[in-house]
Amino acid sequence: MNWITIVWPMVASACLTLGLIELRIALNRPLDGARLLFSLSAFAAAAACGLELAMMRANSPLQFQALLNGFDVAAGVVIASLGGFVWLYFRCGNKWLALAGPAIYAVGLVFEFLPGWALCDLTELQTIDTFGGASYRVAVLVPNPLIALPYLGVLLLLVFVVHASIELARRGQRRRAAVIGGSVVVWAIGAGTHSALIEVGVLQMPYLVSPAYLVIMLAMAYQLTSDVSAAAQLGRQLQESERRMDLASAAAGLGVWVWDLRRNAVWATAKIHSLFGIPQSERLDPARLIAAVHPDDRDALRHAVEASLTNDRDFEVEHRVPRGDAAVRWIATRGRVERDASGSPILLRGVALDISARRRSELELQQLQSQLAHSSRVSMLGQLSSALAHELHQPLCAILRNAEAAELFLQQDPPMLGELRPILADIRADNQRARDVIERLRRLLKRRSMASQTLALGDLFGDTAALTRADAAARSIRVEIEGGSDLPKVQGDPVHIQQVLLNLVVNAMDAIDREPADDRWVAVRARQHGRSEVEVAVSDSGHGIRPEDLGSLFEPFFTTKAEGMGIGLTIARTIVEAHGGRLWAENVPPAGATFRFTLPVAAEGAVR
Amino acid sequence: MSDAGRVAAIVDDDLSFSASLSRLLRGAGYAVQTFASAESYLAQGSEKTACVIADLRMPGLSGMDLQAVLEQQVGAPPLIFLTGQGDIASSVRAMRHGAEDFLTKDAPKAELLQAVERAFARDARQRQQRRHFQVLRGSFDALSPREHEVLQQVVRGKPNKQIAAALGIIERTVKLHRTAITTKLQVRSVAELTRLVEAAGLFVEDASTFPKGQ
Repeated sequence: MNWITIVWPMVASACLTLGLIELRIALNRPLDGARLLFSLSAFAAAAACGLELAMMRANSPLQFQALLNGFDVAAGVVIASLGGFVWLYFRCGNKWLALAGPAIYAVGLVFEFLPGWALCDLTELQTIDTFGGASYRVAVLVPNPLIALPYLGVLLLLVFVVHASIELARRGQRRRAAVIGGSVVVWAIGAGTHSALIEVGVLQMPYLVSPAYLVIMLAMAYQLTSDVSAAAQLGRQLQESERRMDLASAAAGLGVWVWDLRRNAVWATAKIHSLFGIPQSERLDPARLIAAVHPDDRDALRHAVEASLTNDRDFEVEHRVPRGDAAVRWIATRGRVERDASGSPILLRGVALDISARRRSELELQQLQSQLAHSSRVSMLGQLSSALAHELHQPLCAILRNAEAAELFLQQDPPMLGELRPILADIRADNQRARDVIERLRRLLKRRSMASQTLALGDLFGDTAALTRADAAARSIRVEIEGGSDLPKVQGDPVHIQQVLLNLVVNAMDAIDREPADDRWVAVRARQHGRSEVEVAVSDSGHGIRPEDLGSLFEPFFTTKAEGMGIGLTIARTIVEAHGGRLWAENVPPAGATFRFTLPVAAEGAVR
Repeated sequence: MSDAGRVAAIVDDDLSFSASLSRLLRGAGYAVQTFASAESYLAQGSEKTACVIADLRMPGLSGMDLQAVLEQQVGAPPLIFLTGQGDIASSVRAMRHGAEDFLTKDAPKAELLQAVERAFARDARQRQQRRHFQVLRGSFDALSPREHEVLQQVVRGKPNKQIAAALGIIERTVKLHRTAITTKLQVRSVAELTRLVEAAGLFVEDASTFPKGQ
């Protein structure tokens, strides 16, 4: 037992220990190739260490030769795996240079194992005593020129590592380049030079390849510690950021969820449980979440998720969640798909937010708007009332006259019964005419919220013409309402769109009422505008809108009429925009003002 | 011309109302023609029209416009206005321009038929006067130009001496002309002659136009 038999096993066990640690880390998913190669080099260094110790205790030149051959193989594995490690770990350097070193070393090894081509001849063993009462064996070697091959391999490795380290340093990772690159370079120069001096017979010493490997081990251990402490730091930061996110999402009332599509499992924050009305203790899965949604909204949510999975867009659904009492909670659920490298979806990540308050105020706003629209309609019909009374009066007068005529025909001798049939038919028709007038009025006067439906513009235009005819006649204005019947159906609320049309036509008539009476007209035209919209234009023969008024036309309480409230156009624009259309005004000669609005084509209409 | 040949013309853009009124008038024994606009009446209205019943409010020419056109015509029939609602300003204007009546469309039947009856009677009177006038004019046509000149002086009440001086002839010739005039016109006194001249509308500033507002 001397210091040699203590030091070398210690070096070997150190190499094995670090190799095992690195192997354990390398086998973590995903597989870390760089660390795997490093652990291989550490195991090879451990093997080289054992062979070095055995050589020091060799009994015959033949045994020494066999051990030396094994040692060269182990050293080769160290070289090759270190080269590969640096290549993978640095992610830079010259690939061919990295391959060339081990390749040339391997050629050298082939010669060593060929009989008669041995790199050096081993003539005899000498025993050398050293300090501490220890002694070791060395061989007297006679090298041949092929011995240069392995050293050339080591030199190439050296060049590769230096080059890769410089490149890495240039990329800003100076410390890693210095520590890892530096240690490999020191090891290669130290171990290489020392071995070369032994083999040319300058030094009579045992090989020190594995003790020199300690330099690399120290460097890697240092790197590992800093990696571990960086990971710990990252962990702390992650925790911190998670806490911050928790705080932020709690403050915003956001529930966060992740749906793992592969395992069909859901992870969610506590807020999700409370938003979806699921007890905190219950385990979540996608089916449970969907089941918590209001039955009428489930399909919408499912479709949104499916659409998001196919077209890769984020989804957002506003849906209800029934609460214990009859009330519902409105939730906005938003999500995004995440995909793996091959593009198949792996998870959905998203948030949910309670929007009940917003919904409530939207509802209140809608109610207010429909009330305002209603009062505007009432006031507009008030303006048309005398004309509409005339419209109603007309059929009533005709009925009266027809009845009187019938009486006269009956008084004839003999009674002219043949005249009665057309009279009764006309009375019936006039009665229908009066009822139509009343029905149109009733529809417009009824207080109602907006209800969208598919409707033909032609029908609306007919009503507009009927409602404005009398007023137009009284003011001797020609109202031409054309088109509409050949256009695709639109999506909208008939009463509200009628209100917009009436408002624009009455406005136009008011505008030209102040103009001279020679040729006064208002024209309503409709045409298709693109595939998805229908555009209605109301133009008049007036002098147009003053340029300075164009900007403020749609502002509330802006009016140019003495008796105007200034809310008609504001409401008209609100109505059109609620339908997803636009309403604007322009002066287009030779007409005066032209007001245009668009309405979306109904789904069936767009298909034609 | 008798009632049988004459017609009432209804001018109203509301076809349903005009049909009903047409029936009522036919039931009451009138012949009726209907027109959907003032323009079509002016284009197609017949000489036999004894009364125009027009809506005040129509697209294109209104009832008032029609009245203004008819005012310019000789022998235009009386006009009755019908309106949806009473409109005082329009009715005053219409009446001042000689409308026969101004009624709402739902006016009592009796009132309406009376107005039509009055219009027919007035038309008959006017036609009678026009015929009479034409006969008168015809008899004046028998006078020679010189006799016309003498007649003009006579009805102004000038004595023969002044007439002779004004026309540059002797008094005796004036007397001869006067005898010829009274013989041709079959009058016995100057007073009668003056009435006749007035009735024929001679020697007024615009003798060709039928006097208005009768």
